[in-house]
Amino acid sequence: MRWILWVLRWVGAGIFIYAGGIKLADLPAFLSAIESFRLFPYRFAVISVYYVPWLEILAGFALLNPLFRRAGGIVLVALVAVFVVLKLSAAARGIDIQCGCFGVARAGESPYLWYFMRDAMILLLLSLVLRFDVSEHETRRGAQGKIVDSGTPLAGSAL
Amino acid sequence: MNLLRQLLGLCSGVVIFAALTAAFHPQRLAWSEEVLGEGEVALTEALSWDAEALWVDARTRAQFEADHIPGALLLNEDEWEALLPNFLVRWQPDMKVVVYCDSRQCGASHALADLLRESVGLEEVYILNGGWKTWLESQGDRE
Repeated sequence: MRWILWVLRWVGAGIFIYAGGIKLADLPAFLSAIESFRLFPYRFAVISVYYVPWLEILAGFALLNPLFRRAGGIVLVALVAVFVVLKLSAAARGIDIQCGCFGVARAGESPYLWYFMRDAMILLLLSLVLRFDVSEHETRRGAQGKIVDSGTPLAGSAL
Repeated sequence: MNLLRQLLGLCSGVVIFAALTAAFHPQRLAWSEEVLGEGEVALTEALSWDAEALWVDARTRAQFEADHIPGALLLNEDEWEALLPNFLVRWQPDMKVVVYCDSRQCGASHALADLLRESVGLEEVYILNGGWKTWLESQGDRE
């Protein structure tokens, strides 16, 4: 089970580190993508252009770091949820957007169904990572509690 | 480390890296929409050219057909060969060409303006600052 969690974490981290990196590599394209939603004032869009890629990258790395894992997972789930709401809003208004999620996407061909399926898969992946992490965390705490109670380590707990 | 501290640590890191990016990234963005880039023209100035201006929509056909600036004609890189003859029929030597695409940063208008300068040899080619988005906003302001 542990190796599945390990793979999920690395896949989740990889997706967001890549997504953030590709946005940083072309800031004007990402700004154009944000503006295509026609929701935000220009200055807010510029701030988002600088902030969002780093949020994705650092939260992605946080997924791999036991000290920041839960925060990373929660931030990424919140981020994807925000993206879904923005796309729902654009779909409801019937406008073409450039997703900008993973690099430059052409406007005029907004495959909303694909966007939502992809976001759903990412949300599923992140919720699995968070769920397994919570289980692992509780198991570890339970084991530590038993050590404190009995005064002797459980067999194999050091592994 | 509790969750709140984790979140604070993460957000602090993001703020620091974002600030460094805003200060040192080679593609730093203008903080104001009013700043004109190279070869760009503001909407008010382009509108003042009136009949001297030929408006060119560099977006996709689907976007153009959905809506466009009145009088604009469709010309984009994808359909360059097919649409260029229509452009040449409408263009007059004393006209200024104003190219626009979806928003301020979209590359299509810049690419098309370069193509018009290099392939057709036009000199007075301008890119509409803010593109279609700015046009829409200006229409909202007028209503």
